[in-house]
Amino acid sequence: MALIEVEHLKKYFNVAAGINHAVDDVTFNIEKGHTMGVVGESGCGKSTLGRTIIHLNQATAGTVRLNGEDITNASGRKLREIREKMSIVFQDPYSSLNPRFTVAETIMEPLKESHRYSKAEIEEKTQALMDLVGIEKRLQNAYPHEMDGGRRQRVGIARAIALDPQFIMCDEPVSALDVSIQAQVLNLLMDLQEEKGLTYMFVTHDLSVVRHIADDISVMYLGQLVETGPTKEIFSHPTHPYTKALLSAIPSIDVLHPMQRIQLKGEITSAIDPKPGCRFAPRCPYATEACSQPQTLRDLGSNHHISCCRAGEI
Amino acid sequence: MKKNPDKKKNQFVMTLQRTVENKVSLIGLIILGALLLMIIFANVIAPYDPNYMDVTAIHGTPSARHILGCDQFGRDLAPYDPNYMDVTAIHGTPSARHILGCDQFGRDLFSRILYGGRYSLALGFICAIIGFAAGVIFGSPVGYAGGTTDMVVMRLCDIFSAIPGQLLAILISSALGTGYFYTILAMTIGGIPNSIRGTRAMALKEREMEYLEAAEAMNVPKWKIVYKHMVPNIVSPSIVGTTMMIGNSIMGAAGLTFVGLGVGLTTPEWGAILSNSRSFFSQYPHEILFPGLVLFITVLAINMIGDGLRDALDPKLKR
Amino acid sequence: MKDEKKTSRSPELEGEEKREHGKNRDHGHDREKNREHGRDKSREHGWGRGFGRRHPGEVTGKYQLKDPKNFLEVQNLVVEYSSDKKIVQAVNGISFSLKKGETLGLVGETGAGKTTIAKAIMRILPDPPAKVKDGAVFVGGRDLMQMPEHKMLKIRGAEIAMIFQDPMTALNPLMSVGDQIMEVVQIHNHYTREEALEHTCKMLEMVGIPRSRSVEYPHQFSGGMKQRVVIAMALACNPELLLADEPTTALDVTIQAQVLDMIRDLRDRLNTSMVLITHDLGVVAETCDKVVIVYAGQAMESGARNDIFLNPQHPYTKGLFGSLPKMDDDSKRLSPIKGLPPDPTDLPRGCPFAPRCPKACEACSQDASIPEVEVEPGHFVKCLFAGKEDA
Repeated sequence: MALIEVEHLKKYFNVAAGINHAVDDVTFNIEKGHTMGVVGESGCGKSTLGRTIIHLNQATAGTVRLNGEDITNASGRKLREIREKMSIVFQDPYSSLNPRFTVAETIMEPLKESHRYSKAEIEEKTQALMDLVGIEKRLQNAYPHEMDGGRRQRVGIARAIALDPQFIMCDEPVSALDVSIQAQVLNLLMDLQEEKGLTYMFVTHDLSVVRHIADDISVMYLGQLVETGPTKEIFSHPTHPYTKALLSAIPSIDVLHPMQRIQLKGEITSAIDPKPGCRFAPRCPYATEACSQPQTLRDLGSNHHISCCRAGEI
Repeated sequence: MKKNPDKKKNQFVMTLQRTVENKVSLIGLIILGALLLMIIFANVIAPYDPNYMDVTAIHGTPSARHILGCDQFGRDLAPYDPNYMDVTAIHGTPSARHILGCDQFGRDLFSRILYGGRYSLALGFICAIIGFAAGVIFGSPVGYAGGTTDMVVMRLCDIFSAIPGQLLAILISSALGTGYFYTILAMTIGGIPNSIRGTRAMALKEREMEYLEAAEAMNVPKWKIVYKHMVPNIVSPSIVGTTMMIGNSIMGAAGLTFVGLGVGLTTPEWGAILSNSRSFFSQYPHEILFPGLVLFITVLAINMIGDGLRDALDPKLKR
Repeated sequence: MKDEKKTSRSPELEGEEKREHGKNRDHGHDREKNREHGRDKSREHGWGRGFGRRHPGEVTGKYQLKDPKNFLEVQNLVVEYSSDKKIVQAVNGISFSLKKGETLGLVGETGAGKTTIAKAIMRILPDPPAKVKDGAVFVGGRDLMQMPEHKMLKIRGAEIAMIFQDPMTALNPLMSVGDQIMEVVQIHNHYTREEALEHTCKMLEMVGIPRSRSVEYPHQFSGGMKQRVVIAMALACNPELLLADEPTTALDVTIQAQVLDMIRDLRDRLNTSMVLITHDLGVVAETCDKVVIVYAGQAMESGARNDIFLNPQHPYTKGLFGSLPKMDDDSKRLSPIKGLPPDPTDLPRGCPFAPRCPKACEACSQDASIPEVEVEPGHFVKCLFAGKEDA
């Protein structure tokens, strides 16, 4: 059963230049215990999508369901409840921890705010959480700036899992870390998923990371979902021209078989007051007249969906 | 980098430690401490009741008590009642009897400065603390909320700021009357909009930080996000501004006294001493030099402490 | 040729005595002879190419150019930063070399000293706190470390250019991009305004920006476009050596692909030598001819790209590859390097990687200096186990 169901979700922002269609009509499901990787380049709305799902942003339109229950317009006590079931791990381990809170204080905070535990229980749980994410006990009174990025990110993860949430939105949790540390944190996230049956939404621009950790992938471009499906399927049969270009653009360490690169012309424009139709069309090598019509998500079978009117032809 | 796990240090003690470790702020602390001690103990056993005017004493020849008294700590630190007029020493330059000289009524400047410090320093601190508190209490939620709230509050501040601070103080003072309390009120109200504006600007910057969003995602109530998470991270820069406010308020109060409002001429407040001495400063420069110097040293000391305090409050500068 | 290449390597020496005699080479080739050979050649031909004048530093300095074919030769570079109490040992005796038209990748994690190396080559390290303690940087035969500052002014920007990581802060927001490029052009060339303008527009076109945009300001450009402007600026005086410090890290993948393609293309067309600093092994694989793996300011492993990527020898290099999520491997767990990079104010004795190394033994932390071993021609590994066993 799908833990998270997102239907026609929209999040618009009013900006000086007009209306930013940051998330525009996104539909997908995240299965329980699975990891949904959301990939795209900066400004494609992947972070906004995640934040709208976990209710840090109020959706403009559409529905988000958690365990089949509509939570789109939750407020008051209901909102408090769903926020205990969903949490977030941030990209920047520097700005996501309060510089004046020690490690223990940071991890304790959600436990305290839930008003469910006694002081002793909170202490005990904090210790357990620190053990779980691999933070040494001697660091409990350390401040964030006294630790390296990897440890800071572990603290952020401990805070996120403190209340045993069902769903964690990971917003580029490893992109600020060095490769060797990145691998440590990815392993931790996967271990926790196994142990606690967590469901992740993994937002990243790094396709090799997403391939490694995600069961399903959604590719976004300027607020729209262009392709979604199982990871293996997407990597072996990328269908949308943008997905193809994105996959070919990853620098490969395979020096013997360099990948043939699909060179995209131009740069990402913006999602402010966009024209109807496929937003990738201006850069797409296969664009035709039909691409300026509104696109719908088409089913290619085996859970593989794509939003491209020329899907079968190219 | 590593810390002792079984000892969570008290933030206040740590801040104090770090302030003291900083040489500049330590000097500031010592100066201010000495000054405060002198001021506090100035009248513990003052030779005269502050309001007592003994006509015989005016003409009375100086006794050895006055001179010796200067050397003793506290008890006889202020050798004279601040309002005691030594007619023989009108405009007197510093001498063994009046170590800082006398004003046009023959009042001992040293005594007046010590007594005046009680009013002036208290006034400066109270004004600064009120301004600082108002800035934090109103400025930070406004900056965090942004949007319409922010706009409305900022426009209100603009209206206040449109009136020059001194003029506003005069208006308030003349409307409410003279006296210590009203002077504080008059000095504070003019400073609050600026203080709010400063804190709000910091809050506006800080609100982009993800730890605030994290707190929101953890169900931390908004007021707690503002006052528990955000405020400690944005107050350090305001500290320096606040220390400046102490000096400004003392000077502002002096201005009020000068135009006949404020604390009142009989109170030996530093501003009053200064504005009183102003008319004679070409003939008797010591009368303005000494109180001016004391005010300058005080403000300098406070600023030195403020700088050290700001650094001490920044956890990132911890070793 | 092969012999000369070997001798272009400088051993990582610790003691002053050893340094002067240059005798602790561990691979037993006829080193002294080669050294002589290299030096003689440099005297005959070294300065002739492209550089009219010879600087006294070249002869009087402690270091000698080892191979005149090397356009860039860094020998035993040591850089320290000193704050009030601590000394940060950022670069600890690194040596590498580069021929004309080649690209060398400096790979390492945050804090490994990569950027410091580049800034030391450019001589733009802030002093204080940074101090070049030892070493030589030969560019076109001249030791830049011995160069007086007024001569460096002529070299910086004209012969050596640097591209910084963040294109957002590298441009002055109040000047049009055309004016900014033109400024560089006019400092180093005696062009009239019209000529400089024409040159500027050509540079912009070369990096794929229409000349009509030269009057626009940085905020009107996207991140990728800004990085193109920065590159155009760096290339404006046709430098012979380009130091690119993470030039694509701030960019999106598809834009990164565009910019990398452009850098490669320009390098080939202009025959520029390039030092590419990056943490991304994929970028190195696609761009570089030679690779130096930097850890704690030392070269742990260096060699031709294929040697490093197909036959990594140093445990750290292996660890880096193991940390990388592979595109073609479905195994679920990564094998990261345990632990953390060492504190540069308190480097471990011996091999700086030993505390994290799965193969470390006592000897690793005892030797004051781990010798460099040449496991195959041109492939150097700084490890006690190098070449002794396969793991």
